Amino acid sequence: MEARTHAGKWRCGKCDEDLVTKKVVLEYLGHSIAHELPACPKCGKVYISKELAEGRMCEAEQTLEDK
Amino acid sequence: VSAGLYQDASFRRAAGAVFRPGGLLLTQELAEACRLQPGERVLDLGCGVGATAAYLAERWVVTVCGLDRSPAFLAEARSGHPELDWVLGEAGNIPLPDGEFDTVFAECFLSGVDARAVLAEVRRVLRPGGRLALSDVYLRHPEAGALPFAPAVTCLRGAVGKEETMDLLRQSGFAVKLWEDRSDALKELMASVILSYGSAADFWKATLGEEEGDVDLESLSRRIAGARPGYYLLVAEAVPSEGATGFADHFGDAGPAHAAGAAGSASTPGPAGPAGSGSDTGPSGNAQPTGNGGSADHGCGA
Repeated sequence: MEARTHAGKWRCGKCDEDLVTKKVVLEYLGHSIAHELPACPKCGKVYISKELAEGRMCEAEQTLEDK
Repeated sequence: VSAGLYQDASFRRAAGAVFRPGGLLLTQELAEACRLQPGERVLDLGCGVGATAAYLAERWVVTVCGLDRSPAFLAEARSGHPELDWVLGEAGNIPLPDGEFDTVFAECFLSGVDARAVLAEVRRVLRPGGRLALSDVYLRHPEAGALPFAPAVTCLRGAVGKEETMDLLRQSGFAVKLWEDRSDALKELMASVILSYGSAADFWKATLGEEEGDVDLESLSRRIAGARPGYYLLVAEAVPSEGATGFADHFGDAGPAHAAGAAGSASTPGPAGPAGSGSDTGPSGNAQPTGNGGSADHGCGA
């Protein structure tokens, strides 16, 4: 999704809605992990920051990979 | 888990209402494997805030007693389910009579206590032929060494390998009927913990608390990962001692019943889903537990 900041908040580039924190289910290698992330209340798309993807999500994936 | 870890907001976010890998889905699988029957007497060791006890009473119509050493956990359990029996006590010295129960559940518990002493007590409070339903952390690479340096509030400090667990059960008078590796459940909980805390090292730091001292968190994480912690389900039967009256073998000749998935099988009296799964009530969803009128001071009169 294209997200952009608006007055310090992230907005959905497609729907122009402020993102809200929602519990979402992340799926990886057949595993399902519930976690709270910013998401568009209209289209449901989730914003995953570079820091999150390269940090904790990467370590969580390695755990699921049994590395 | 300890009351301290349970009260940590990040852990509650990661673990949800049931503070162990697999949650109530693994409890359901254990109940199916044990072929629980309505009216049977069940003890839940280390019951925490009572999620397993409530689930078993409501969905399997068994008479449940929950035992825990934490007054804070029991207060929350009693508040949520005053109709069930809750007993304050140590699993190594269970304040209940001999032969009181048909089945004892101990989920993510045995590795955190003196397992030999607890199994002796479990054997005592089970009727001959009664069942022990276990799920717990174990070391898939025990040759890498035990983890006495792991945070005390986790189950890792007392975790041992599969063979050591099997030997201890045999020596304690149990015949193992089912053993399954369910390490995926532990990996999912750990992944959820990493997302909530930021990293495994941050989780160990939070759980070490005052123990932290000069611990190298990265080294701690590597050593824990090297032992390859896993998770298992196990059902064992209390072998009747010599001279005891024989009891029917609940497992038959073909071994225990076991459904590969989370749904209950047609041959078991249980539900199709765990408690709290929405509109599903299962075949026994409306039934009330029976005989649970006692207070924590009086034990679990069945």
